[in-house]
Amino acid sequence: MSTAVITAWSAVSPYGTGRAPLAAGLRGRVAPPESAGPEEWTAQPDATARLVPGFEVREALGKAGTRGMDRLTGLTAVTVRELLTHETAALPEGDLGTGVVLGTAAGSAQGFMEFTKASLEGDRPIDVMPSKVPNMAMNRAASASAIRHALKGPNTTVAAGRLSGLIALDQAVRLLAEGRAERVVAGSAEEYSAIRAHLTHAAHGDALVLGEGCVMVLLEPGDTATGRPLAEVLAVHHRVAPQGEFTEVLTAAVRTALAQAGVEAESVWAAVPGEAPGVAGAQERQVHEDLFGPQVRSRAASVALLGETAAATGAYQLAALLSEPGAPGRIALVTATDPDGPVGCAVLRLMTDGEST
Amino acid sequence: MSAAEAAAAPRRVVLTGCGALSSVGNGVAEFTAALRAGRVGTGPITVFDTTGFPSGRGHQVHGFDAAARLHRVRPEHTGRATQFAAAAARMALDDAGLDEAWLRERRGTVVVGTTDGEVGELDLLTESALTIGLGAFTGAALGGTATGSLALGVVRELALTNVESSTIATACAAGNYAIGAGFDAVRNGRAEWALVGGADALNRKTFAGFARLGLIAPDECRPFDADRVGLLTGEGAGLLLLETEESALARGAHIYAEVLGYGLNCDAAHPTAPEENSVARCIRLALENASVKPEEVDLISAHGTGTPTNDTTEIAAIRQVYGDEAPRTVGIKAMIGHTMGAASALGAIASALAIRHGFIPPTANHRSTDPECAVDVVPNESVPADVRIVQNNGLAFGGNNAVVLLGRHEDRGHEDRGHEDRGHEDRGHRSRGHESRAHQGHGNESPRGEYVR
Repeated sequence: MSTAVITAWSAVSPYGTGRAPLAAGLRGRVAPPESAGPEEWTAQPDATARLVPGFEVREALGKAGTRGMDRLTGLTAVTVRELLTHETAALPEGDLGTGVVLGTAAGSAQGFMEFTKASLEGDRPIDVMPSKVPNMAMNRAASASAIRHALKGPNTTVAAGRLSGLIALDQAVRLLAEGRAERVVAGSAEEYSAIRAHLTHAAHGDALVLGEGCVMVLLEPGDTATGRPLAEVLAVHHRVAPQGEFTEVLTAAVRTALAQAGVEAESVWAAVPGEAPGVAGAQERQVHEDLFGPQVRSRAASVALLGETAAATGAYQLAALLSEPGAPGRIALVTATDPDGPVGCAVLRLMTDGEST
Repeated sequence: MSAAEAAAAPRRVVLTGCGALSSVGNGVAEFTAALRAGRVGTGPITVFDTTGFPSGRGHQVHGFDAAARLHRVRPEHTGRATQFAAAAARMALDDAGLDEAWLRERRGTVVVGTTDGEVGELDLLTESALTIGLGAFTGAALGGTATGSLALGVVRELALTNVESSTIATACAAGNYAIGAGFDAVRNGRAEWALVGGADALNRKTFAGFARLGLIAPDECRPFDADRVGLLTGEGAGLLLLETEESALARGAHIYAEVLGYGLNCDAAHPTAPEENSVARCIRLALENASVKPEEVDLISAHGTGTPTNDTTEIAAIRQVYGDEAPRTVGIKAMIGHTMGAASALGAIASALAIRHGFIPPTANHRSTDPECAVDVVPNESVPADVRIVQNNGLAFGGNNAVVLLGRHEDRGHEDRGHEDRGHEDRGHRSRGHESRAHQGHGNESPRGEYVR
């Protein structure tokens, strides 16, 4: 069986729309600016975060088919548009079609709660906005992206907190390995919202700066890829530390992933942690210190630059690796931990020099 | 995966344990009895206030004592959907004759499908925020409202660690998506077992959405009926324990069915309406993946929501694949409501029970079949039948389709070790041995065509 290769990627990030601004920002190790959040229910007037600058769904995507569309769906759909416009417009559509695998934490919590609020406060409990109803399915972002680009393959929305990006990558690789799709667009996304800010600050402290955005990669089978391979996915392995024993379980997950990839820890060129808040992130850093030298740990940009990006983090970690200059053939690794227990590791072989992005 | 794993031949995957929570019964025995009796679980919804809605009827789970069912997950700190997932997983484990230690000794996968995750918790948070303001947001709310909570609840309840865990939020096809993910993982050696299925809890948000679209039936859900007007929202969970055939035979497990294969695709056409050609294509993908010919399928457990558009489109897709000789096609949502992410998981369990116990669950609440849905829907009363292969449909908002094929496990090379010697109640059908599947008819037990005008 051939492995899967990443042949394109794009993003909508606090640095702007498209791959180039994100790649440049990460390479330069410059944090994007904070700006004021949208005016919406529970928003605090002075709240700021690392937002996608000036992002409005209907401005970004046009008026057709976007009425009521939530921000999470908009961020995802723009990313998929950027990915397919710039890299793969001429790709043939095979019998199995192109799949989509999107990682999310909880869909649009703001959208869900505002919908319920309308039901509670309206003259009648059914006085909710009909145009918002399609948002109520948590697969809206993945399916709307498919609709906009006629992507008729499997269409998976996967939720695993901060592991979502890594597991989306894993599911995409599996769909290709099983012959269930010709190509898969995979990644993860997170919207900034006032509700998400309250939930995150209550859990992890008010000092945490939130970020948002979406990164999607195009995966193809290694032996039939039509695009130039940027990275090969060698292994993905994840587990759960239900009692908060992140160090022990993550170490086992990293060692398993390295073994499955057939590489030694010593040959890892860059290791990028997920930078989870709290004890999960602290123990993750400890694992990296135990396994990798300081150079390996600092070769790629830290996703902490982007703020707390929750479900989008895993995809941003891939972007950090794909943006980093170096010789083709480098082995790179990302890890992820979620404060609720999941931990995981992906091992890649970088096949680009990182400059041309 | 490693080179060694990749090189291994695919393994046969069997279903050996079922856990079910539904409006018609909790546990596989109650669920089986209800399906056989054609029992309908409709009643007033009490988990949220339905005052002011056109109708407050739905399919609520009753008699669910979370504290009694759950050993580790604390109900007071856990949303209802996660409670359902964890309890149904424990039921499936018990039903399979396995224990936690067996799971812990082997690499496993837990995948739970859902439409809403813990949106019910977000509903409560909304009410609370409207009342007390920002103080409603507590430190536990982020994790408690995360969709990934459902699969993690299973992992926590069973104290697992060497397990891959994810929640699939592909709306109302999510249960079949999860089963497919588990099937692939076990089949290819990435996992030795899988606990997969779906769970959802009734909540105001989704009820209000369906009510706003005018899709909720005033009295009962009537799939494929000429006078159908809509669905009834429901809740519940269906969890399935999958393992390799080798493992099941070695430990003398009773095997409900073999997972033969599945298909996934996306209409990529409309946010809420299904598309006939695309649904037909998904059925063909599943049949091809399972190496099953259309004439070998004995029963279709339809998505069958009871909405005008779904049922007409779904039956047209079925007839596109099967022609005029479509197998009997039933909609169990008449009995259990639309349980959202749990729907296709409970449909898969119903399919497995049909195979194991030799009966076809009926389409309840049926008066007269819509001429646009010209199939034998097995109205109102279950019928005994020799069921060898079942197609289980899951169709979702967003045009997401997922179809799973289950088949009777043919114990090749172990002819003396049939299912009927393991103390189960069903002895009503004879094994058909190893005749070619293609030679099996669809049986003549039901009043085929009687309701087709």
